[in-house]
Amino acid sequence: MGKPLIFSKTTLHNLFSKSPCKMYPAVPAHFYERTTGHIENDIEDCILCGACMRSCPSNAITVDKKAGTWQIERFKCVTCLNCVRVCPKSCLTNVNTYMPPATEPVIDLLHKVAED
Amino acid sequence: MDKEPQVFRIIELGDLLENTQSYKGAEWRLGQICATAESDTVELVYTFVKGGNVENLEIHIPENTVVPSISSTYLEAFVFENETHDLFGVDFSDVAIDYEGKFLKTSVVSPGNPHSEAAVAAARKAGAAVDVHEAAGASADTHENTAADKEGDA
Amino acid sequence: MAKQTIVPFGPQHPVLPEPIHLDLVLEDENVVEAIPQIGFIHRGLEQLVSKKDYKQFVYITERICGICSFGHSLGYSQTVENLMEVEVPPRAEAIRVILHELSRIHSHILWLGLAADAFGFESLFMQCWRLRERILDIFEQTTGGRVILSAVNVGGVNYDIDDAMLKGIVEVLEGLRADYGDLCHVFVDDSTVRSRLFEVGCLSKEDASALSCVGPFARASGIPEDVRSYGYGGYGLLSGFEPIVSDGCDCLARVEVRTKEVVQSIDIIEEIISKMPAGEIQNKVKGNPGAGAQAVARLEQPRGECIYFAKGNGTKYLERFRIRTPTAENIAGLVQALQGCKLADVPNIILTIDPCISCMER
Repeated sequence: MGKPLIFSKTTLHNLFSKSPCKMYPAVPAHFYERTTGHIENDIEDCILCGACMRSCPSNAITVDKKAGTWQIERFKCVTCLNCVRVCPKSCLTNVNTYMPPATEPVIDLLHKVAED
Repeated sequence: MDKEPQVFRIIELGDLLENTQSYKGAEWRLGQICATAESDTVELVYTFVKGGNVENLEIHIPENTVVPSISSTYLEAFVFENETHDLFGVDFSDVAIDYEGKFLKTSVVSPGNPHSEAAVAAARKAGAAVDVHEAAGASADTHENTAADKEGDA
Repeated sequence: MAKQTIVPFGPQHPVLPEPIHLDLVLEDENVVEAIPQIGFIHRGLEQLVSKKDYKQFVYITERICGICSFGHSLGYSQTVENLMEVEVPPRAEAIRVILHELSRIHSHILWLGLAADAFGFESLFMQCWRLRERILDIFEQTTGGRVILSAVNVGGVNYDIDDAMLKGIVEVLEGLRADYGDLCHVFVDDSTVRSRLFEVGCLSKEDASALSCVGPFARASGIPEDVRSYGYGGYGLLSGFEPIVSDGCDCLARVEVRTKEVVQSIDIIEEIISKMPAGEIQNKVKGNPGAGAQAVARLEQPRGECIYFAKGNGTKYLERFRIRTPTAENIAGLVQALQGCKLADVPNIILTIDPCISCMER
């Protein structure tokens, strides 16, 4: 009716080996190349067409063509990367580090300098 | 790559129980019961599954029809029928385990189907309650104004 | 004559991953009847179909549940592809199957940890979840997310997995086999675990068949039903598929079926990687679903057979989308299996249907 103490092999092995847990934040977090961190926009190449605004499922991006601004609400963005795939100029990219924690909703506003 | 066969048949409400019995006799399983609200009808889709085959029965019913329950043949239908009653206001008769509207307790009655009888009755009741409050508030305001005038004068 | 008491179980209970409520009618220590009550996590996600167009809705379906996340986005995409009659490139189908089988491995190892926690073996729970981290690292390297992948869309997949990454996946899975074998040995052969699981919560083959149970819950009662046998989508690449069936009908049989399915999934992934087709990974999808079009798709999720139903109305918004999850189908089987058991076995039996209540209620 079953054998006793089968788990003791794993217990003894773990007793005498190093812990798998890392001392974060003393040891910094490890990100891979494709990790979804946050979205950045290369505003020089952006044509303010608004395709990213229409494709965002959480309505985080606001584009104002007249005022020349591109704005993202960081706390609404879920890094689904739909905007990155839809952008016709490929100026949106995914950067693989997380945004720092904040106590109030963060809005990043970028101004496109008009060409003279 | 292969895809599932898509078989949809339209039937009348009266033929539902007979079709269900013949599927049970041929050892088909119940897949799902799905309701869609249209402008003044409700469309029910019953899905039956056996092996690699999937067949769907479509029934269009006018608002406020009572649908016979199939839970005497397929007991597991009670989950879908109670959910359809709570979300779409469709009444089923003789459900094996009947929660009488308390299976999914939502704050809005019949949220998937605003034209159903239950939703309309709830809206009417909520509208009447708001009117009573407004009338009470208006009379309290006039009462306060006259009191303030009297104090101002004196 | 014994006195009957009613004890409420849930919605808050340390053993439940998600909230469900059961009213247990007890006579002394034996459960006579169990009446389920759901609705604690109903978010009305299907009503969002009228607000997000069909290309954005895939990101909503991913977030219905944290464990079956990839399965729901895959099922949604397959349904809309059936609705609009869109073909998917063969390489995309193969990548979808690899990610789905990895999702099955992670879900089963997660479940084994929860089952160990349910009968009180917390160290075993921790070791299972430590193994699961290796699978989550594979997900992060290939798609960027650990739990919510955003890897599938209508017409293909978003990320390509090149040969170097595929070789890395095979190495991780081969390294997993030995450690996983040690843990399975504990689940299946240890005497204390057996005393909690053997002949507890029996559901006979006739009852399981009459109540249309699905998934490993039904396969442990002897019903050989598995959607992967019919070769839809990328599963057509496999040379042969046999569902894993057991005749035990009790909790121990359900644990055995799930432990063997993990090994079967590792074999499936290695077979698909060896037969990987070349080509592109995305077909462009233009236009909207036709008015009055309807489609159905089926998928073998880790918990059982999942049926997806979609209806179009000519605009970019779908008219209706419904997911019938395996847990909704197994609730009737759970109520049947709970009759006659002891009160201390109730958490074990509830966990053996692998309840995913947040998918069930959407």
